[in-house]
Amino acid sequence: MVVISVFVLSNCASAPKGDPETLAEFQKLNDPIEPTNRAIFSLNQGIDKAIIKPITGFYRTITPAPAREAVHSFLENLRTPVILANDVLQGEIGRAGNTVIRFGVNSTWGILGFRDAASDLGFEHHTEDFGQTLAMWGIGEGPFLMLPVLGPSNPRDAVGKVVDYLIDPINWWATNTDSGVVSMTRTGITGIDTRDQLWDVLEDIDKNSLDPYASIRSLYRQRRMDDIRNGAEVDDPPAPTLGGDFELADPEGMDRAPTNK
Amino acid sequence: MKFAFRTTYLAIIGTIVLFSPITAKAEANGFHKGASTFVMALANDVITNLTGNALTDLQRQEKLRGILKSYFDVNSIGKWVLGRHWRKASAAERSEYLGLFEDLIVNTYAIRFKSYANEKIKLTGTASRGQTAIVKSVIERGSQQPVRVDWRVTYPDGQYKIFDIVIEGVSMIQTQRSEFSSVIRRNGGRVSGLIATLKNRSRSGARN
Repeated sequence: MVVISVFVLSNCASAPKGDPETLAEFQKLNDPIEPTNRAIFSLNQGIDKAIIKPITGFYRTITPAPAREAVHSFLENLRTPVILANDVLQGEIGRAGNTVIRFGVNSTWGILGFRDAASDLGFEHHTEDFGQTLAMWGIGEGPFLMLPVLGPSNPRDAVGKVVDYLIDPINWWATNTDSGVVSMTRTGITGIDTRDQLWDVLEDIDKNSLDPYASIRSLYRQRRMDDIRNGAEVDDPPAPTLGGDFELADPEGMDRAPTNK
Repeated sequence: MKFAFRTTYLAIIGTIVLFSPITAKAEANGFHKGASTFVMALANDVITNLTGNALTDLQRQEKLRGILKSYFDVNSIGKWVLGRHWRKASAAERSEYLGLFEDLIVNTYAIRFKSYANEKIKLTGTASRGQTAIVKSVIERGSQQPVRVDWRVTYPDGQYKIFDIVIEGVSMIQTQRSEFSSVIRRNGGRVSGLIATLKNRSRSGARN
């Protein structure tokens, strides 16, 4: 642990001096430990190439797309208690109702959740997690973090992940009944499903990005902002001549406060 | 005299206050409608001319270049993506960059339309932000989850143009900007570093 923190500290990108624009960009990037994050990113790419991607690739060869979609729906249905708790913690009563109805419909008519029958009835899927709840409570994301294996995150979302794990009744049940295998199996399958869902995006980045780390950092932050806004459009989209001729770069669009619509 | 002036003044202000929201709304509706029609025209053009296996890769790239030029505000996008570095770039660098940027889009995206077959676009609404109309849509892909796509449409020089495409909340130009700015930063803050990287990419793209 000490070794890790020394490593992290010694690799801190020092804030650039002098040029105010460069400094502003550094602050907007919100990635003060970029060198360390990039090192972890390389490690993750290695792990992905050696283990995660081959397993997921095998899963994709033996399982047709509709079956993978069914697995994904099943796993999402299992997440219902966590989504519901976060709907409620955010005061989103309408969305909480939607979550309850979806669970009822999908667990029965949707055959234990393998089919997302509720979407066909107009009860669309939405995601919530404790990271988003913290954001709605006004807690900032903190600096960008690349977590080993788990990938892009930040302190707020990392804490959120832990809380989501702790409030999940399926994990309580598994702990109380000594069914650690169930939790482990679920984690394993969820990991493969997540990698499967990201397959096309990651292939695309791998093939086309000039800087995969920067692309993934940007994608993660934009997706999280979108999740937090519940898909509402931003108030000030980029415009051709906004503010005259090319103001400071806002590489991540982070000037946009989340609004709850 | 003073009184009369004030009355007239108030009457004018009153008229503006009373009627401007209505006219503004009517204009916005016209703008939205035009923008929606424009997005549908683009989608049809793409489906007719870019998808399917009848084209060679090179033909598809040239068709995409045509579509890009007629439907997208490519130069404004290129400038916005370069951001503050545009100001520092020399005239020669700017024009070289814009050409390479167009090539990058054509090379990156053309291949994707090859596998498109069952995609259907459905418009779901419109909104405005400043001078930008946002045309919202979902793209349905058979059994797969539909994808939420917002089209940010502007109206420079009396013509509709796409300025940005936002897929599931991810802005294409925003993502491109963070990628480019990272490449520039890691090349000592010089635009020439980005241009060299783009040239390399364009050469390896031509070989494939």
